[in-house]
Amino acid sequence: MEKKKYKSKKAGETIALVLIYAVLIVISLVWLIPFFMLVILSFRGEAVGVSADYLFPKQWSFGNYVKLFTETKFPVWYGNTMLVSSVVTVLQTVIVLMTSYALSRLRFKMRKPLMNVMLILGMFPGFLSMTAVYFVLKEINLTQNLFGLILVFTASSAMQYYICKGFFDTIPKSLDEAARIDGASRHTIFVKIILPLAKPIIIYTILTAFIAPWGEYMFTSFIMLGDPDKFTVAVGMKSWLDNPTLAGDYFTVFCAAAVVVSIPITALFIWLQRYYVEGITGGSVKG
Amino acid sequence: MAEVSLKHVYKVYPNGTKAVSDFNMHIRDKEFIVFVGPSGCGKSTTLRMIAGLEDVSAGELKIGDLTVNDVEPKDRDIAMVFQNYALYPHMTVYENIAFGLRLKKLPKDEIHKRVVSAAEILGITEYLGKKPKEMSGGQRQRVALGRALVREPKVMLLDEPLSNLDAKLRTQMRAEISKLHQKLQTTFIYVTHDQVEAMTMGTRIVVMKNGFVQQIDTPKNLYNYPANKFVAGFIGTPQMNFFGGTLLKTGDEVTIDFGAAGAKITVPYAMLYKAQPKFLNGKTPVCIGIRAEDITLAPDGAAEGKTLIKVAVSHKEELGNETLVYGNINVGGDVYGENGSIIFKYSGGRDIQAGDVVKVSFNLDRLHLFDEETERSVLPRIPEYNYLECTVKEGKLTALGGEFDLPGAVKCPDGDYDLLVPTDAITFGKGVKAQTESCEDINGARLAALNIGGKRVYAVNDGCAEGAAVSVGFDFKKITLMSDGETVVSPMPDKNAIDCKFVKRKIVENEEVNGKTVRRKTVRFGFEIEGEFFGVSDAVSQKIFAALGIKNSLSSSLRLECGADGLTVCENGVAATAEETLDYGAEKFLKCRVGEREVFVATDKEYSGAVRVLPDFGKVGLVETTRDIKII
Amino acid sequence: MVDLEYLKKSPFEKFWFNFVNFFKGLPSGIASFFKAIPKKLYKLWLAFAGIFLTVGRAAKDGDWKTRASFGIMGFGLLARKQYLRGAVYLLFEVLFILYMSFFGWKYLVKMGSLGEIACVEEWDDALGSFTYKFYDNSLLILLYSLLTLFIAAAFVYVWYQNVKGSLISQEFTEAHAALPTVKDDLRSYANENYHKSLLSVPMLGLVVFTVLPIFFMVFIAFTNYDKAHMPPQELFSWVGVDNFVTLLGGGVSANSKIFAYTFGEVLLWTIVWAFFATFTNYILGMIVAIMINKKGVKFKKLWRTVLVITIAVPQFVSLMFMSQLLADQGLINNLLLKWGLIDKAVPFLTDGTFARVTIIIVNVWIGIPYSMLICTGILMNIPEDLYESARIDGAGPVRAYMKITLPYMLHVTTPYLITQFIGNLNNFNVIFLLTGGNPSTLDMQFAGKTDLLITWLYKLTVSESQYGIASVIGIFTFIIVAVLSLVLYNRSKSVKNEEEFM
Repeated sequence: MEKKKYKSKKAGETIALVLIYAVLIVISLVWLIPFFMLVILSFRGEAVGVSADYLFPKQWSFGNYVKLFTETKFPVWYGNTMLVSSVVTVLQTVIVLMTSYALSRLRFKMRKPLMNVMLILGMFPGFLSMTAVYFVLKEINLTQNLFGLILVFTASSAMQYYICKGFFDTIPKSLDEAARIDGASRHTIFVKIILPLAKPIIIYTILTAFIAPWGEYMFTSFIMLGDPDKFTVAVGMKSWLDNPTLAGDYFTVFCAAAVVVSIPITALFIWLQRYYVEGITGGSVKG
Repeated sequence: MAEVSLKHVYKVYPNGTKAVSDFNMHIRDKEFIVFVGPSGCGKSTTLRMIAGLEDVSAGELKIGDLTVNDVEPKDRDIAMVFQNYALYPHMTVYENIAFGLRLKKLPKDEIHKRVVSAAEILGITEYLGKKPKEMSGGQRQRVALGRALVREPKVMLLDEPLSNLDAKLRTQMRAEISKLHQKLQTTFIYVTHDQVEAMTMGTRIVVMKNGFVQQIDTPKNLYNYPANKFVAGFIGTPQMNFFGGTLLKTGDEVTIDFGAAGAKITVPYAMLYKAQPKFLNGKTPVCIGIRAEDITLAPDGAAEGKTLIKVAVSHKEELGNETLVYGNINVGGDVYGENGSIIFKYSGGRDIQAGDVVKVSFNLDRLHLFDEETERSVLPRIPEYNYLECTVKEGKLTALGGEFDLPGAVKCPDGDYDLLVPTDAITFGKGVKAQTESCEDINGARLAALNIGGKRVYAVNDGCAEGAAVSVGFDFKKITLMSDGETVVSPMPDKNAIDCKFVKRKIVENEEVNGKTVRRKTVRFGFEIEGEFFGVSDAVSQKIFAALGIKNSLSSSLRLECGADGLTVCENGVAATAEETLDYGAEKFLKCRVGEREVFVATDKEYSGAVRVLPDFGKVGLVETTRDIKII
Repeated sequence: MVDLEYLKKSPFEKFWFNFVNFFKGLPSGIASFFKAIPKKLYKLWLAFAGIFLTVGRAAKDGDWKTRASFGIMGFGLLARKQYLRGAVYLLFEVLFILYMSFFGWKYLVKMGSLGEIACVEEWDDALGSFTYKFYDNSLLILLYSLLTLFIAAAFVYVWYQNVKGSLISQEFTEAHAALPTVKDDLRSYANENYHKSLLSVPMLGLVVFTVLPIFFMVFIAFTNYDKAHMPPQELFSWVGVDNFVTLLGGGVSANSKIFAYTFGEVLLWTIVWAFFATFTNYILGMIVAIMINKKGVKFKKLWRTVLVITIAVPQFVSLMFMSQLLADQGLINNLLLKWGLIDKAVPFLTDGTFARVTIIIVNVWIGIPYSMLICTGILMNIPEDLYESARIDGAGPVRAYMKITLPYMLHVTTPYLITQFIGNLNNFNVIFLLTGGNPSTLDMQFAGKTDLLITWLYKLTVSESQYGIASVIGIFTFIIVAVLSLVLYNRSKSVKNEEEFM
């Protein structure tokens, strides 16, 4: 009797496992197939536009990639995005680290009010302020200018302090105190004690800061309106699809571009995956 | 190498809670001081104030000769060891220890020399290349100690350094820290919540509770003479047994009634001589305390005597060399009940079983009695008063077999009275003959036990000598006469209080310089009392600035406190109304009114109506009234 | 206060109890939020009173050096050898005066009218055509006068600091205390004042690129800035609360009714969307995470990596690609037609209801990897002994999930859920890149069936130039988001305190 029960339990477990494997395989397929399709489509040689009724190309070719780099503005957009991303990454990381350290470790009168104000500012729909920013940039001749875009992306980076501050909060305060007794100034503590301990969160900040400009559409399209030479990849590629005369022809080119854009980011991402996971899990559960 | 002194040190948080209240202590060089108390008692806060990690809200903190209230931690010549070690995780042990020295920009050789020698002292040389996370708790704590001692500090501060270690390691590190103290010969201040650590390590111990210092004393004195119930319960394991009860004096004996438990023992009155009479009336609830080691098991057949108590045993703990017996003196009731529960130790032959009823006797010399209401000891080491009886007749007071002239200021009808003479109001010189039985130094004061015609009288007097015959009298301004519990004559208050504000004034003076009159404006600080301004010396204003900070001190509300001799009648003083002159024979005092308050002024003349009295601002005490903080 | 009834409940019942209470308490939460406002205002007033008291004291007790600082900033400090700080104050004052006299003032005076003449047409004989001479630009007037107000406010603050600093240095001198030297001042910026060194640049960026624009747009909401009033050719002017009235349906124009209807529809869909987007992602993500984390499941790392790869591909790529695949003529429809599974194209993105469902499903596809990662992290943190004790108590996997996993997860992730919800209210990318807010409809003013407030706002500004109305929508969005999140945060805190899990 006892033995039987034991067996049935084991059988139940096996069934559960089989079910789980089945679901996981289905999920993996569902998640991967679109990307698989993307890659396949990018090698399609014949120009049949969006409305073809088959997936695998009749003619495998690198034509789309060649076209991408020779006939379109894509290389310029790619360069633009890379430039903006790199500069934004450096500036934003520095700003976020400075703000987080100040809000986490230093005690000053305006600390709480400042955090509340940033919380409230974050509740305004970002686009609301965009129009005004546009006019400010226009006045100082920075619209349709990459520098203007960098300015917009970095200017409000301080508001991204939350996750990083959460990480700093977990570093024991007694380290600061020990260092103070050892004769370190606040600045020395920041540079020599806290920053070396904050490697995971620094990498997380760099990663998110780097990725953001690649996917950002709303601000970029608005600031760069009408100057295709200043587009980033997101805005540029969308402009192909939005143009009814281009959409058909450029669909496969779009796929090729998507592959080219995804490769470096995916590589970076998989390389630094651990820190990213730590960042979002750590930051999201702290209230 | 350095003394640490704390004068009226407070820590007040913005919401008004006081984490530390009026901490006064002078720590001598090379002492090993332990702050002990339950969590939240303010011990760590005090240590952190000494370290400079917390601001001192009010009061004066000195390390060596330097007032360090506003000095950065690094400039205080201190080092600190933290509970969680606070080692820098990304640095090797070597770098951890060298970090402070590198910031000081010492030469490399010097740093190396010091790091290596510290590592040798602590036996961590082989770990110098390791990171903290590769080490055990005990090793980490050693590194933390190493990091502290390479700074060669004047004062070592240790904040619960052993509480993260397991019991065995703790005992071992305890010994090592004590050894380190002997070796380094510096002042150690050590915070712990563990009374065993405190008792074994400290040369003096500060017991704290709720931000207040309960007692500062040597481990031995804390154990033998706890000042209150809290200290008594906190020090010693197992915890002291406490019973509720009352004391009733009948003739030369006092019956200690254990209240609900029904038990009673009788002791000679001489043992409770220092107790105030109000505790001996059989009604005032007191708390009776006795330690487990001061209870002895009486032989089975012992006769029911005056000092035996029955205990119903509930269970016991065998410790090998001795046995801890848990029981209850409420023999008929619930043996597991809280009320009347008792723990005692015994060793040797007898086998006691749960459920037995045994007889125990208390070592009466080691009985502690506490006021149930204030929890203070009923038998203070220095009693406050001598309780005497006296007769007043035609201006003469008869007490202790002598006759004294009553001064004019003491007015009372003829009759028999209870006489309360404070121990410091017994004057040596003339009066009745007395024999000094013993002299004792207690916390800086010298207490003499006098025998006056068979009656014991205590006097605090530096001039006493054991065995000496002296003549003693009374300081009449301090005595109280009572009749049937009603106060007939009350002593003159020893403190006058005057309300004032700390302000600054611009003073315009005309000065002759080279034959020309020059107008000069100066700013003076002083007190505003009754709307008038009184300038104070720089020394006083600096003290106020130091205690309250320059920004907060101006227009703060203060209370001046001074004795009668701190006030003089003087033309440029505070407006007051003279009410009467009190004549205490050798001294005369003027009772007058300043604003709402009554003050007493030492004087040798008679005054009436409006007078002016001037406090000696150099000697007054000061209290900040809004937060109730003593400044001077 | 031990509530035995409460303690009797099982963890799940406790959670449910708190969950219900949470929503029951919402109204009172909102009420207490507004009730707290007077108290806050009183505190603010006290702070202001403190400023006046200090200035009053400086006027009364100050010596001539301090009083001179009222006019010449930094004088008191310079006179007491606090050269660095004094010089900075003085420089600030000079710059401010220069700014006001050469720039700020001329805009500030026009703030009330927002300009008189926009542009004049003149016949130019030499060119033989009309030339335009531009005068007042309402937009710039508003922008710069606002900037001037900001700078003026900063000036008042700095002026107050200057008076206070001067007074303090006077008091220090009188008390014979040492004043900080220039070196001390500089050193303090790496110590007690380090926050100033760290925060000045980030905050400046925040003020210029976030705070100032927000104020600007709030002001725009009270103007008639739209297509018909476009600077520099035309002026716009103050219209009071007309835009608010229009949007709420009380306006006189025919548009008003449609605007109000659109607003209602879009708002409703925004909230529905945010709710579904948040909870579908969360629950499905948690299920996936539990499956991957189940004991006995192999290749955990592989499954996780498969999902993480999809995060790595930039979202805009996935979204745009999906919009192509799901189009009426898209690959998926074509394939399905070819295989004969359907007779005519499924209107994935072109039918209102269909599009809404599609969006939520695509969002699940995009979002599950994130929520899976988060849940994984927390799942691994659930102490193993909780499960062991449950097993000893005889709980099966389902019971263990209901009694331990779910309550624990919900408890820990409440803040995350709230931020997700708020984030989805303003989720521009998913909607805009997938459907662009379409399918469009004539019932609504410049909005499609799947438009959120934020994408509607985008369209109104970028393609319709309806700045006034757009600002009003922005303000409403802010109010909704702010009230919701403040109340939710406050409530979730109280839930947290009530139920310390474990």
